[in-house]
Amino acid sequence: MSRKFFALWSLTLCAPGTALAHTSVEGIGSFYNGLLHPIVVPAHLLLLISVGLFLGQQGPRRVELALITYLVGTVIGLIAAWFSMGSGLEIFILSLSAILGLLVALSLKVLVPLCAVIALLAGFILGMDSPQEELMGSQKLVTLVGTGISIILLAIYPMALANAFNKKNWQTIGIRIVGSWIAACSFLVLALKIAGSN
Amino acid sequence: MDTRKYLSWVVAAVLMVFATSVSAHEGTGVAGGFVSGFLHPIFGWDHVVAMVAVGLWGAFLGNPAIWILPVVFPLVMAFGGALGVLGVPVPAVETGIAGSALVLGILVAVAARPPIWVAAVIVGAFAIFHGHAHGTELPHSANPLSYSVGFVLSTGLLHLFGIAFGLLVRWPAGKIAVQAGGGLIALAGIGFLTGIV
Repeated sequence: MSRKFFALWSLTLCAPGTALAHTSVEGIGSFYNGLLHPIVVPAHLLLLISVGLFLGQQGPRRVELALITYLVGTVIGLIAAWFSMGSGLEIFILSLSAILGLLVALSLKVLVPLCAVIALLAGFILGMDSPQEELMGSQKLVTLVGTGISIILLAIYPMALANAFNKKNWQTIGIRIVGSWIAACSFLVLALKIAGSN
Repeated sequence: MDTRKYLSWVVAAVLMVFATSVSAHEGTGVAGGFVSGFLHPIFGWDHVVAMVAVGLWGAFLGNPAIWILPVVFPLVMAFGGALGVLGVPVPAVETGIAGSALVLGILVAVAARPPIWVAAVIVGAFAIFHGHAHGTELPHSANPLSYSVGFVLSTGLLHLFGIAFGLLVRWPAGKIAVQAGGGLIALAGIGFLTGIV
């Protein structure tokens, strides 16, 4: 009997579930998990789309400085995330995406310095809210690098889209509708957060 | 026999180790929140007909109303939703939703063309009722943000459906069809108000 028992036990050991305690999606590695992080966090995705559409609406010449500040803000935010300096930033993320969604819906052009400050703030807050507290050393670094690349790319794509879709009336209106949807979603969940904190 | 019985117990124990949670038919987390939010306006006929009516009316009003109403509606709906989330009571929400189908249906049926600000005020007022109804569901959802993304997206697509149908007004027969659609929506509104539907 004990032989059969040990045979079964050995069989069980042959089929273990892969232990990947430090990744949110099993089997894809630290870098790809970092890359996916802004996509799987809905609040981040909303802010990324709204900041991208907002910058795209401003036109290429007005966002040159903003692109640099966005990059700088993201790097500073990720450094802050490395030291786990920020937590519970969702309320700020939602507030910013609600404001940006509204600006997109209204199709407002803002001053270049203000545009740069908004981009800096968005990059910083997104980076800072991506701490990988359960990771250590090189794994954490690789994950944060992945997150940084994702934060940049996921803002650039909607920016390019909004910039390209400004030729015809229906295109600009379509972008504004998406902005109003983002503002509506962010505003609603913001209200829920405020209601929960009271 | 004892050995086989013992072995079956061991096998059962091993299988239990590998057991995973059952999640049949029940969405959870981000995906579950999105799906339940997306389906919430679609599963309510009163929401569906009113949203389609907004699109139809926009088509009758022409540019820029055809596109302004879908921009205004989600924003005002979010305001109504925030009132619902914060527990601020709005009187006669269900009556307001049913009334929106009736009023918007009539406006489409008679091809009303008021100034854009009047149309925005009418649509905005009804958006508060619809938003309040969605907002009260928000705290109970699996993921509030993905729920709100789902229902806003769903509402927008219903508008788009109405707009697409409303574009038929370019043709004489299409105009009759759209006005008939408005009449049907108004009838549905009466049904909602009286409790027949």
